[in-house]
Amino acid sequence: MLLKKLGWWDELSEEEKKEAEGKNWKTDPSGGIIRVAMKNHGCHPFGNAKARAVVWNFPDGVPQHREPLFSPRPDMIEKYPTHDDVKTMWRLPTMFKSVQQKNKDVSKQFPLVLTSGRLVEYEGGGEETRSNPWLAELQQENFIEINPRAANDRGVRNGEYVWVSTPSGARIKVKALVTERVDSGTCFIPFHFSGWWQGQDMLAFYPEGAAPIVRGEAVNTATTYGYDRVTMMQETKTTLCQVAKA
Amino acid sequence: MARMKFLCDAERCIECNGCVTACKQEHEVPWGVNRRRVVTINDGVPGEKSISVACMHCSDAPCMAVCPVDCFYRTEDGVVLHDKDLCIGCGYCFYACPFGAPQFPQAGAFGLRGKMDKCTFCAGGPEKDRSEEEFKKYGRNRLSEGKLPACAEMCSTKALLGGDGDVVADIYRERVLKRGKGSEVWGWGTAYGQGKPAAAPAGAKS
Repeated sequence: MLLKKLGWWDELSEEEKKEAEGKNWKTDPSGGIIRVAMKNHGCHPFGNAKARAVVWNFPDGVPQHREPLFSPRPDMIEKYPTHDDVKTMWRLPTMFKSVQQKNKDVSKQFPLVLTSGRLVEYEGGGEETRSNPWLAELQQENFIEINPRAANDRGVRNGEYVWVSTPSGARIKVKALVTERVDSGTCFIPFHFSGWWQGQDMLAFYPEGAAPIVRGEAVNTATTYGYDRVTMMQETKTTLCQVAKA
Repeated sequence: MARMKFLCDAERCIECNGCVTACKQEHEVPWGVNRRRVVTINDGVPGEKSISVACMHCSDAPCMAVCPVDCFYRTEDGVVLHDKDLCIGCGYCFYACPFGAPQFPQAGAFGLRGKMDKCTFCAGGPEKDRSEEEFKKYGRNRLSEGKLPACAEMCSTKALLGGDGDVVADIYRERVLKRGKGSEVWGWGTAYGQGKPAAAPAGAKS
């Protein structure tokens, strides 16, 4: 019983003690343990993202928030700027701050946050699924999830084709799925599809018999510049975008 | 003898379509024919629920009642099956079925549909068990191999239960008692409103 070891036990009320006996933070139904730990002693409610060590050879010894290169919040860029440009990162010049500064007001043109992700019907990256009729049948077209409010502002109806453009200059043609799964400032596109390039079906360019059964626009055609400062993992998960009726 | 039943626990279904894929793969069902599908209501809003739907192998099956050539029959396990050699593809069963189970492989001139295809509870058809002919027409006969339907066996959250109705009911009852909710998805209240079951027409079964 950690609370007793810490000498905090008597800060619980009598009723709380009754319910909290033999329980811990997660299982105490009275909520008393949480109250004492957080309110009286300032403990953090979750430990997953807690820095447990100082990594002296990382640019941020302890993780701290930095705004993405393409941010919808210019004020946050001022407050939490990204890293300085690096002349040679794994032998390659890699830009951070210069890209961020240059695109500080990019959200005027591209006001929606675009995030990409996985569909549960798809296995792995998508190639295994696109070529397998039993799975491909379940998701036959790429789509963008867009909030009813954002869709309405743009005159977009459910099931219509839209153009999604991003600061990279690319634009992709996908179907609109108007849903409250996303909020009015966010859009979502699954990343499993390929075979279209900026609105064009590339079927004719596949060697005979090699084309996937279902084809669609790959979201990574439109994602923007950006790399992790340590691992150099590319930023293909999130960027900004604008949606327009096709 | 067991009475075979499907039950999909809407509190557990995560809309992964694993059952759909399992079915397609097991029976080599062609593109466009869906013996099983997952239906989601209130998609993207709080209270979203999904259930997996296929032929429910009704006790009093409407398809069986309307079929003009009487191609349906019920096995001693309570599984509703049909004979594709008798089926004339008229589509009456499609209109009669409340679950949209009957599927037709074609759409052609003069309303040509082809032979009806539906979930067999993995019990094949009238042909000899596990014969080549049976597989071609109806898919694998897992029941005769002592196995349960592929969709239910494959379900990752064990939302979809298939098998002896008594066992399925026991599992479901235990779940509902433990979590204290979820049974309201099924039953009289859901089908006919929250009125008293006593208002049922005379002779109706629960």
